[in-house]
Amino acid sequence: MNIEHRWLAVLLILFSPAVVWAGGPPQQSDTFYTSRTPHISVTNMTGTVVIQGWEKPQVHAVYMIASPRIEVDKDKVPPRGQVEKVELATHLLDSQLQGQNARVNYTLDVPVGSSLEIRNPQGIVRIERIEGDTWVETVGGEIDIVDTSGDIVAHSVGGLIQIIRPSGPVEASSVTGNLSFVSPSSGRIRASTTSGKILYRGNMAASGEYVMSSYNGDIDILCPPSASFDLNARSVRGKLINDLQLTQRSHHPSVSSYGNSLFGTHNRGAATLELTSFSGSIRIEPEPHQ
Amino acid sequence: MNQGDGCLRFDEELTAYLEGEDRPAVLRHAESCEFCRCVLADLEMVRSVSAESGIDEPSPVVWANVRAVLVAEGIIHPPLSFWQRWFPLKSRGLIGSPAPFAAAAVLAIAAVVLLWAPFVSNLSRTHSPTVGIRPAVLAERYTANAATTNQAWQTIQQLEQAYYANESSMEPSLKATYAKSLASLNDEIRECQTSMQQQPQNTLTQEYLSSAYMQKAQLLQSALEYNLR
Repeated sequence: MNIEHRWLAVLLILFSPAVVWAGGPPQQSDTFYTSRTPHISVTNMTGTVVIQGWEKPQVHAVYMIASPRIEVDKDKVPPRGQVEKVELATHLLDSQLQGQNARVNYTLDVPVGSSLEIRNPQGIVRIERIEGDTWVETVGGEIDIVDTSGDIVAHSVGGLIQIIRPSGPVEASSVTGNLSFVSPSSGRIRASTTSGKILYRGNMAASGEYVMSSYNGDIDILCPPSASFDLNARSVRGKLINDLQLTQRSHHPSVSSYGNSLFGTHNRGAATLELTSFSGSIRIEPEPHQ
Repeated sequence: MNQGDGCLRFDEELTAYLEGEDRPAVLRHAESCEFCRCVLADLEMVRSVSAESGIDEPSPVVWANVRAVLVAEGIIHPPLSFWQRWFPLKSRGLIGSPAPFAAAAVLAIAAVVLLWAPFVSNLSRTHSPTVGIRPAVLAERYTANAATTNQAWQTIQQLEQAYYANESSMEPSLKATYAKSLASLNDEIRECQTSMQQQPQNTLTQEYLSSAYMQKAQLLQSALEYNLR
């Protein structure tokens, strides 16, 4: 082999797809010029989906793709003008791809006014600083939603759902995953889980409605002494533990049509707090000083 | 217009027709196409059963599910199905042909929703007046509800059979998540049933039991639909 052929061979090896992919998943990116309130949809199989709001009227999407046998499908973008809708979907070109080999990590910067529709069965979804509505579904993946003001609907079969500082209505459900609400200012929160735990930490809005239910997971409510709510707590077999000063309407620790129940008013009773469990404990206690 | 175009238009206008909009083309086509006539008759039957059960209208989810069955079976062909949008790869290869199982599952879900609604509404009706009612009366109500419960339970069992028939083809981590959740719901159902036998007047247990059945049906449906993707 002469010297030219050797160089050619080296170049071929260097630029072969196998070598390129062996150096780590390649990164692709797109920029879509949008209105200030576009609808963004991401459909993934496994991997992370991270979405953050920014002030620009555009979507900047970065994809880390684990295999050359995966594509990210996107809608055709018109040559001019702003798009109202951006749809991104993981497209497996090989039906045998599974697990880490089917992984795509999405990182998106989107207008703060965006509304989101995210499906990521086996991966983490993290959403931050969004003012539009958010709809997220996972099977085993964790969902983190931080500083949002639109409606939130989050469902996971087995993943943790953590919602921090939401100010819009929230509906969260899981079968085995835990649900956590930290410093919410939402007027309406509905949460249900079968065997996961529910943690609510923060104050309650006047006239707010907070309905939480678990089967055998514990429900912990940690609120400041200034929190004002009417409490309706029921459990078939679980303990009801209250460390706040309640004006009790009734308390039947063992005999009632439900099992255990605790009804009372804290401060002026501005919000409604409805808690139910079958065998999980329900605790209402003052938020520890930070 | 040939028969294929007619079927396509029938499919496009069917949802709107079932929602009460005036779509004469649907009826016109059903008169001339035996296949679409059967589809329409089935859907109208579902609607009439739901009306007899005291439900104003099945939820959009039910109609969406029924429609998904028809799509899965290839009876109707929308331009782009929900699952095609979900995962564009047509042959994900998880199982050979999951459509019949999913179709059965989706129809079963519709049945569970329809059968369960009166049960749940009975529960809500019996919710407040339970205090002061003799246990014998409550037990009688519970027995009356049990027939409905039994039907719904059979439907869930069919769903479960379809799930286990397809379980081996699921991705391991997904399978584990579904299995864990299913076990959790089964525990809930078992415990609530035992509790109901001991305390038939406990309305909170009734609520948990009916909710657990619904959740189980939804979970099984979700797992089966996942195999279609």
